[in-house]
Amino acid sequence: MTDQSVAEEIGSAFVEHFVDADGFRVRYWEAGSGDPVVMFHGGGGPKFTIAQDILARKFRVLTFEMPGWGASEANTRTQNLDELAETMAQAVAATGLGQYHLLGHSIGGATALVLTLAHPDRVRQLVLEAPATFRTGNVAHSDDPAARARAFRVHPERPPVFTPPGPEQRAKTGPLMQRLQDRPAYDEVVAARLEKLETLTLVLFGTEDGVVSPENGAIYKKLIPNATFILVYDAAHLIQQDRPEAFADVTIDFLERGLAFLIPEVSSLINP
Amino acid sequence: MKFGIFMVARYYGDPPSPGWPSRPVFLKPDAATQSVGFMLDANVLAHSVGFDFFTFAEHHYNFAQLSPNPMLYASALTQRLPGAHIGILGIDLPINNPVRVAEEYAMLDHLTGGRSLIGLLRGTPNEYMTYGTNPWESRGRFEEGVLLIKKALTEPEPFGWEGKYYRYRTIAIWPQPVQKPHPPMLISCSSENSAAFAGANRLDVGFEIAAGFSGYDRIRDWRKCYIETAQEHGWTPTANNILCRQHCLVADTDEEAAELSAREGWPEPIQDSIIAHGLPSAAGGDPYKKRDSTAPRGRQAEAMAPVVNLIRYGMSGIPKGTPAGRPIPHTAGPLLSGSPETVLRQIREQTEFIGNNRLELVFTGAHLSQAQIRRSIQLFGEKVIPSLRHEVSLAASTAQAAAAV
Repeated sequence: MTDQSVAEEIGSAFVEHFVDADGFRVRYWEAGSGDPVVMFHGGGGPKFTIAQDILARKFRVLTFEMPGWGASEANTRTQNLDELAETMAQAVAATGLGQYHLLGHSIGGATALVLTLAHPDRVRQLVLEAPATFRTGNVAHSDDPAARARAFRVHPERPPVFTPPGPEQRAKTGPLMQRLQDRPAYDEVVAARLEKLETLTLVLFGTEDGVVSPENGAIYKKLIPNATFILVYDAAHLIQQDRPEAFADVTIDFLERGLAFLIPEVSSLINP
Repeated sequence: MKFGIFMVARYYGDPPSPGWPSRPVFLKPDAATQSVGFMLDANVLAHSVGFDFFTFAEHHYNFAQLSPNPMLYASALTQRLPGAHIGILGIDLPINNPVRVAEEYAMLDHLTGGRSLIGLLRGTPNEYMTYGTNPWESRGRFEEGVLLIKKALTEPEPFGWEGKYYRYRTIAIWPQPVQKPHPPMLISCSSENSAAFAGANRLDVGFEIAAGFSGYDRIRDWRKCYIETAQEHGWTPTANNILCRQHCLVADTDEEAAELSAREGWPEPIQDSIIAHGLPSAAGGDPYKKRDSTAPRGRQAEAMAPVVNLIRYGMSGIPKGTPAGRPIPHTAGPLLSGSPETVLRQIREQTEFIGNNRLELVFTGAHLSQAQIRRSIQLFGEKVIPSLRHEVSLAASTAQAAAAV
């Protein structure tokens, strides 16, 4: 199978749907069966990944397009993360889901975290992929396109090939992102709330993340009582895309076994 | 300049038959204990004559280096030389558990009061047969292991690691080291890959100029790559980040040094001493005598040579399936040998070329006796070190290191 054919296959099992929630028409895609896993994308918008395909073999995966991203209209209404999280909570509820695993990347991770704080009864387990809640230690973004790409992807050539958002997308999502991120790099208000969060949480950071420094992973571990913080080697900000098998492996293990995933169950017996 | 001694724990009993691994049946425990004791005593001697740091290395299953776990020797030395700078150059990382390596280095840092040095190497080819490690994965395991160790030594909260070769769900080493963010960390620089990796990851580098490792002709390119890569990543190495390991034989006169060298077969090619290839067959021969190139190789040595070469291929990144034909060539470099004055001149020339401010000396090797080794250490410490200490240090000259690029 060539890279081209792999790229064409990615996401092919997902079927498009729409729901109305909080005054928005929200698009999502669904594939697989079993326990539901809801996914929120990052600032680059929704993108199918090999990791999602692998997850869909084990779970019923619903991956959402948050209002203002992708093909949706510019979102001039949402002012902050609390509002976005509430919109997405309503969108997920509109699909008929009561309880689900929740997985968010970057700004989607920050949204997922706020949703979980607001509705802890709905989220069974939480997976945060390079979440943008805390952004301490970040270096300024480079203007050099190659450096910018490296901040997101160690391996931009792997399917899906890395393509930064074009000028139209950036013009549409830029103001929304600014409003969502108009808060301190270390948000004391959120930090105080996290200490009371009991949801089993997995926090993943790529060792080469150049967008949100991996040093922030320790903050979640420190604050959230039932958090596990794992560094994914040889991955930048887009972990699912840099190392899809590793991402899927650790996420599936966590979702299937909870904290028991700390114990290896793969046999090391060579021969009886 | 800082002077270190890399004191090999060689076995001074009757040698085993040739070949690696050395057959344990030949070991005389008393001789091994005496050999280890001599090695530790030689470090104490070196300290008394002015050496600054003391290092050990990891090698397995071999009478030539009784050092499968150098941490034990380093730890023992901390009690005999409190306050000394002690390090391992180095742990063979691809064949070890990186988290365990991090834990042990952190413990050593406490035992030395924050004066330890971390060395991480890929090992010699035979090490891949020691615990059964895939040599084609050598570089991948090494690079991942280095970064994992850095994180284990510095992460403030428990964390997990989802790597390519290593998976840990929980890492939280106690204690973390005294030195912050961590003790100086050094890797061997014997290729452009390793030079670039060191530069990209703020690591020190070590060049080994010895029969069987690196010659001057490639060191200049590797050093250039190291400095340029470092600068691309926002830092500039100085001479303090560069170590040179050299084999050294000091005698009262040049003639005596030359005579010793010829008689005792010094220097012994490192790869041969470790792998024990090419030693004369046991039939009628004393392997401690100077190597006789006309003596037949042991049958085991002949059969093993292509296997060892295959391992070298794997470690070098040559694809599996490539016929294990010609050995990968090594270029021998000039060594340090002669009277104290001659060795002094040789060090000046070499240091100017390499731009290192740390010089680690190896005084053992071949058939040198314990008395000869002690004399060599003594002469170096009493005659060479004081002269060099008074000279202008190349240490902090960033401009010099960069200008030499």
